[in-house]
Amino acid sequence: MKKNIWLFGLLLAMILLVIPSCDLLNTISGVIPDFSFSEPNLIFGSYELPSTYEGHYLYQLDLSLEGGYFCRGSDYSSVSGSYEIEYDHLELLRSSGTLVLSDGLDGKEKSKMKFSFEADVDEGPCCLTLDGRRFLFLGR
Amino acid sequence: MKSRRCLVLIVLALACLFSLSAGSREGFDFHLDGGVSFVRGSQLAPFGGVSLGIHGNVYGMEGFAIGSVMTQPGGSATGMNATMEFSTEMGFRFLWRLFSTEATISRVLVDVGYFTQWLELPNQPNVIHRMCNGIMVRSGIRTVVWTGYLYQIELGVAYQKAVLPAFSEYDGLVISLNLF
Repeated sequence: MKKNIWLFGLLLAMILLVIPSCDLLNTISGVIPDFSFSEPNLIFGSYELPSTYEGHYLYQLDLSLEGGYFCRGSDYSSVSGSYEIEYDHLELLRSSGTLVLSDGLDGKEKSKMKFSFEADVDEGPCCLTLDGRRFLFLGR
Repeated sequence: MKSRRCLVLIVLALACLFSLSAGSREGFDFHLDGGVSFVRGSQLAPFGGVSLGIHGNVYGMEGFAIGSVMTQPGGSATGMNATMEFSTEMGFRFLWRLFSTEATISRVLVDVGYFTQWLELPNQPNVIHRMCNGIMVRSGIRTVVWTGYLYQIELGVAYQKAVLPAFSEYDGLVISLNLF
């Protein structure tokens, strides 16, 4: 009888210990960040290629973090698709490489462009230059 | 079984190698490393780590691992480019005795390590991205400033430079304190 009480007590103690420790493990695993060894997407966000006419734009380009893009032309035509980035140089404030847009900026064909991305040390992203055309950063 | 024998042989060989350089203040050495480096000009980056090695009469060699936290991630406290930044480094430290007295010993040190920059970006919380990584070289002087019965304190001044690839943001002065 005494042995059974001990066993029951031990079982109860184990259950009482295991339940909060599982909870604690979940909390700890939630706090520990994921480490990514792949190159990060630094350039995502909304950009605008300004026109020579003040207040007008030639293209508005939205690059999503997940790899999709949406481009609106000055004639209100729009294109959407996916994009890929290949970095030649990766630094937080200055990176460059190749940007591949599945349907280009105007939807005619797949477009592969050289890009360079610049960010201000205090203000964050500043501009994205695609084949020499300087898109200004609007926001994320 | 064979691999265990090999391991024992390696350990014995190392022990023999270490015993060749035995003498006063010589032999195995373990340090807790800490200090501060000045990256991106004047931004503070406290660091901590461990080093383990062997010291001979003149020469010494240590393996080290250190981690450093940048107080201004991405170069700014605004958090617009990065919300957290730290670096890790592992490598070897080569030491040459410069001079020694009863009370102190000064050594010239050259560190050659592999560093990695880790960043947490805004809009991507809880994901740490690996950014620049390459070879870091650090050279300077380390001096024993206090010796106790079982442990000692060493003070060091060095200059570090990321050489391959060139990454000027982590270049700067390092002030270190080594315990044990």
